Amino acid sequence: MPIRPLLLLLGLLALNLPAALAEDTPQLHLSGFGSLAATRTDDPAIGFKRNFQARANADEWSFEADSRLGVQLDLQLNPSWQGVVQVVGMQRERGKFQPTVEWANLAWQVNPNWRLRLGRMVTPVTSTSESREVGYAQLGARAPLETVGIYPMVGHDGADLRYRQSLGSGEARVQVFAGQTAFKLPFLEYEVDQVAGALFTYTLNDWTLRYAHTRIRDARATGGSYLETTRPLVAGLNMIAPFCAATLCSDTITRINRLSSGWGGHFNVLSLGYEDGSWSLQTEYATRKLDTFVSDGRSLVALLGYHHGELTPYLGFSRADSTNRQRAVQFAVSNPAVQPTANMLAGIVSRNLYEPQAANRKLYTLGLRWDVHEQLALKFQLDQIRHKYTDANYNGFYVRQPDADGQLRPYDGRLRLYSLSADFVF
Amino acid sequence: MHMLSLPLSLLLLSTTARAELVVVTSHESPISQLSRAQLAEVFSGRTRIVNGHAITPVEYENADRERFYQQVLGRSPSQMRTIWAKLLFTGDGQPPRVFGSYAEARSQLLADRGLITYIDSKQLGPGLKVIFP
Repeated sequence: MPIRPLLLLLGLLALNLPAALAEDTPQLHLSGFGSLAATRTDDPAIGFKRNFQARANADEWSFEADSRLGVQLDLQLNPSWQGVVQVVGMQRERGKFQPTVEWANLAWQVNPNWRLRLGRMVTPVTSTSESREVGYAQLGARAPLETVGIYPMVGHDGADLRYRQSLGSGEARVQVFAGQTAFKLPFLEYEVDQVAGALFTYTLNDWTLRYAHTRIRDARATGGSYLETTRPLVAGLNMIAPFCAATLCSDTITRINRLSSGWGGHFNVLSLGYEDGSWSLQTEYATRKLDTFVSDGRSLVALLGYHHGELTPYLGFSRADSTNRQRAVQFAVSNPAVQPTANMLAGIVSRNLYEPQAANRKLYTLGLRWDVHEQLALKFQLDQIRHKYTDANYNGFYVRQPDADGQLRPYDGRLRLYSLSADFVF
Repeated sequence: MHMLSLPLSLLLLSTTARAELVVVTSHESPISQLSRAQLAEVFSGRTRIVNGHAITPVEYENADRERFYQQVLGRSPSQMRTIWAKLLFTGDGQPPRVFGSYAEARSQLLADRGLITYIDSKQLGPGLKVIFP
């Protein structure tokens, strides 16, 4: 935990908690969740994984992408104070099953309207960001990656203030949060000095409307193989930068330099959900805008389920688009002697930095959730995926696979992802 | 035939009477009535304040959960468990606290006017008032 939130936490403890503790007997509660989940693509050219995982598997059943185990310890100090620690283990950036502390905070319910939390929490970027690892809480096999994945980090260490109040016949909630975070990908490590945002939620009868705005600032790559392998490229780009004759050239080089000098961006997510005894609807539209070379993006998710006893068949549509930087770039320079070098560097940038982001896709989802027991749900899901660019070297959730010679396997842009999962709580 | 139908109809009447579920709170609560939709929101943890008043749902051992969820909230037990799992594991709240008996839940309701629960109407006693139906 960073020092500043810790100091705040200690301040609050000194302010109120000892007196509160004297009045009540603290209660501990242990609970947990998990998923034993297998996935398989139908094409050896494309593997599936989470963006932060090291290994993707294609054309064979694998338990590595979606299987996980979470354990949570709740400490109810009294009606106003509550602490929580949640640890989730799954395959992570080193390709091993590894536990991570997802939640570790102390919440002060000041009164029915106000709540303050300090410590570690998952950043509430989308409506399923906070519950994305709790398979049992999802209608489908997994939280929709198209919207959840638009935010490259997970949580933050900091503070979170929520106000809830009646509004008309429903209830309105306003939540603001701020903090800092660090995050690891298989090839890159980040530190982010500022994560902040606000979200508004309104529930009325069976409907929930939600809007969230999240900003990050001073995100810096601090380690990882990506930083090492791009160092010569960045040095070369900085050499040709003074000769750039077009905005595209200078802008691209500036954005690439921000990977380690500090970048930022913002994320907007609008969600509408409906749940009654028969129908469940989840819709979400998300956008992101960044000032580094990572693409801006937008994504859409719609998932509709019908509850029939313990069976819930569902279908969905989602899409994710990189709205720029998915195609080759050209660097125009003022000195003809530098142009061949500029062309070579533009080729490297296009192949290695831009193309991996070109996983623009549409997904059609069909699935069945079967609540076989009070604490266990089985799910069967088929995703039919259409990638827009078939030549690009994708990374992220869907990963292009090489053949024995190291060349990308040919891909026609059509893929099926099969998912079987047993999601449980205890 | 008549001899058989009389006890049968009595049995049916008895079953109907037992089946009437009501939602109750302390008679000191400022809440006088909740709609079915408001109850669904409160018991699913999405709303904790109604008309400016804080409300906390509680349950007790042997409460008729399944009938209450199905008939009053219009949700299946598995739907409710899914909703509560999301609340619990995102730090957004807890499922309704379960007391060891109705007697214990009743004494808590009398002591805290923000609590509500559901009972068979025959269990209604002094100090409580019906806010649904």
